[in-house]
This record gives sequence, C-alpha cells and structure tokens, in this order.
Amino acid sequence: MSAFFSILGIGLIATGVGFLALAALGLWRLPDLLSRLHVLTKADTAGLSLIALGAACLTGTRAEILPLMLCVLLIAISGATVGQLIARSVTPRGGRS
Amino acid sequence: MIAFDIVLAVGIVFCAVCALTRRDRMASIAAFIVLGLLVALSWIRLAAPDVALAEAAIGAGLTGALLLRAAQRLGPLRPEAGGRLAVSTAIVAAGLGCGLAWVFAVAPAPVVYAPLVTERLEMSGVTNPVTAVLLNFRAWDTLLEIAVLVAALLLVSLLGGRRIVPAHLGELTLPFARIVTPVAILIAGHLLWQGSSAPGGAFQAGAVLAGAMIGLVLAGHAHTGAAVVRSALILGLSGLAVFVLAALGSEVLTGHFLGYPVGAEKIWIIGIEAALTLSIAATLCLLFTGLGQRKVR
Amino acid sequence: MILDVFSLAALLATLAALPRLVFGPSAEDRIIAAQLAGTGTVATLILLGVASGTPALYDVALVFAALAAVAGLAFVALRGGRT
Repeated sequence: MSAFFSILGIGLIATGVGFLALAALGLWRLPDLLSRLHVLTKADTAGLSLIALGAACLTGTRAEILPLMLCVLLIAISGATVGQLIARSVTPRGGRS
Repeated sequence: MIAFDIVLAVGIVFCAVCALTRRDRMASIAAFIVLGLLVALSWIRLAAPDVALAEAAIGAGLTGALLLRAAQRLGPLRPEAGGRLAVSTAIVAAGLGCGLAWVFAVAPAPVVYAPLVTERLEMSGVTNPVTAVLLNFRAWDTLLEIAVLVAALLLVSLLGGRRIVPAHLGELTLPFARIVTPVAILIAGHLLWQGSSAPGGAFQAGAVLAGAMIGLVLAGHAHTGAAVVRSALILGLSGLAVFVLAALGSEVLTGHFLGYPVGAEKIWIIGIEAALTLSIAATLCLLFTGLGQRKVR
Repeated sequence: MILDVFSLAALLATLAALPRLVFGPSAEDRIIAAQLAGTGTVATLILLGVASGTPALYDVALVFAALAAVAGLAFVALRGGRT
C-alpha cells in the first residue's frame, strides 16, 4: 500500500519535472512569442499538477494535501490569465476590441 | 544537497549581475523578480522560513509591480546616461560592503540571543520564537518599524504625484478576481493566525493581502476613487495608532511599556498583529497606487 | 536520495528560463520567462518540502502561487492593455 504510493509518487514527480524541463527547453528553442506562450501553460498545468499529485502521494495527511491542491489551482489560473492577456496585447485584431 | 546550494548561489549572482548591467529596463526588472524568487529559496535553505515568507510575499507581489510602475513613469533608458553615476555608485557600494565585512570579521560574536529566547519562550505567550521576539521581547523595535512605514506613506502623500488608473483588462481577469483574490485573503488570515506557533505573522500576512489588492486594482476590479484612498490612508495610519495605544495601555495595566498582562499575552499579540496586518496591507497598496488627486495615466 | 535530485532538476528547469529573460528579444518574452521561473520556484519549494519532510514549505509555495499573476497583470495593465 505505502510502497505502491511511494512508487506512484516518485513516478508522478519524475513526469512533472520532465514537463518543467520540456517547458524550459521550449522557451529556449521555439521561434516566436506566440509559440513560446504555449510552454507557460504546459509547465503551469501539467508540470506543477503532476508534481503536486506526486507530493500528495508521498506526504499523506489531509492538512498537507490542501495547500498542494490550492497551489495547483492558483498557478493554473494565474498562468492562464497572464498568458491570455499577453497574447491579446500583442495580437493586433485578436479577440474583442 | 551541496549541488543544489551551489547552483542556487550561482543563479542568484547571475540574476543580480543581469539586473544591474542590462541596458534595458524590462530585462533588469524581470531579472530582479527572478532574483527575489531565488533569494526566497536560499532563505529556505538557510532554515529561515519566516524571512522566506516575507521575501516571497514582497518579491512576488509588490516589487515587480512597483518597479514596472516606476519604469512606466521614467520611460525608456537613455543610451548615454549613467556612466559616471554607475562608477560612483559602485565605489560607494563596494565601500559599504567592505565596511560591513570588516565589522562582521572584527566584532566579537557572542551568540547569546537564541538561548535567551528559548529559555523564556513560555513567558511570551506564543510558541514561535520569531513572533515572541518581534511582538514581545523587542516589541519596541517593531513599533519603530511601523513608524518608519508610516513615515514612508506620509512622504508619498506629500509628494503628491499621480494616482494610478490602470487599463480595464476585461472579463479575462474575472477568474483571477473571483478565485485567486479570495484564496489570497484566506492565506493572509492563515499566516496571521499561525504566526503565534509557526512561520508567519503580521508583515507576511499584510504583504500577501496587499499583493492581492494590487492585483485587483490592476485588473480594474477595485475602486480607486478619492473616498477609497482616504479610507485606505486612515487604515494605513491606524496600525501605528493601535500599537501606541496598546503600549500606553500596557503601561497603565502592568507598569511596563509594552509589557503585556501575564496570562493574556497571546490575545494582546494577536490583536496588535491583526491591526498591523490591515494597516501594512493598506500602506503597501497606497505606496503602489499613490495618493495624488490628478488622474493621469 | 532521489527527491533531492528532483529538487535540483526543478531548480535547473527554473534557471533555464534565464537566457530568454536576458536576451529577450521583446519585453513580453522576459515577462513570460519570469512567470515560468515563478512556476518553477513553486515546484522546487514543493519538492524541497517533500524531500526534507517539512510541509511548512508549502505555505511559502502557496504565497508564491497566490501572487504569481501580479507582475504579469502589472505589465499588461500599465502598458495599456491594447485590446
């Protein structure tokens, strides 16, 4: 039971860190601003939520899982909001005017 | 973990160098924001979570917004500016650094403070040693720090200047306003309450609250009219007033300036900290938005 | 311990945003890089908290997460939104 959860947690964390590294690579390699905006959402949603899920598997108690889930929620909303706003501010006629 | 510390230290120095040397305001500001993130991580590695919390709240919420606002006021960097100024600043900073290093090397360093605090911790009414020092053993220092914050607020109000009127960002920011801001207010309350037993406290809670409010102002979801600014100014000044009243009250009750009645220390500390949280949040928010009457972008 | 390795990897991923931050070319690129570094810092804090068994670090991560959008909002709002 606990061995299963620790292996699952390590696996989830490894995948999440992989997403973070992928996002950093994308920020480095992608050609223009709008493509680079994509990597933000990958790291914010996939990377961080996998890491937080893995951490939740490894720590256990409910009082420790709540802040982890709140972190995921807050970062996902923040990243999406800032990404959309920046995209809209550089697109000449994109979105509402 | 030594590899982690080395990478972190290299990253901090690199960010600091970038923030100082890039000839582009946005690059300097972004490097300074990331510097704040890394410095908060380094406080964690130095086992000082209270300082890390303060650095996180100030660095993530306030510094970036304040610097961006200042950059907007100043306009783009002139290419020829600042050669001699940079050299003289570097000389002064290097002199200050050498002086500090000399004092640090020469001064005898008897580590008497930590054991003294640990010994008398149960007398303070709280179990977090940092809060015990800040709000009980050395409450006088904290009172003066709040006075400094009030002085900064009064200076900004004397300077006048322009009140900020941000662009209306529209419906995209509604999820931020409806979810992130309420959660941030909850986090501020959590930090305030747990400051008596774990890392947290009035300054961290106030900074989180101020960051959330600045986010609301920037997204165009908060009123920034003259009446609101006046109420915020009164709220900002009220922290010092409550602290001074508490000090005088404890003088009357116990005969000691800021010596709280025995058995009721925790209630006094939490009460003072609650007032300080609101006051610090209002002050920091006003330092960003400004108090001027003219509405100029 | 493998969790220490993961926290180091998360720190490296955070720092990997720095070249884009320094060399731009546009101001938006730099803000995106700073935002990504903020996410990376939250991840690093969570991993440090798990690795050292101190859930108190989650509070610091929570503060960063709650205020992550403020710098980006300030950037867009102060330059006029341009909708």
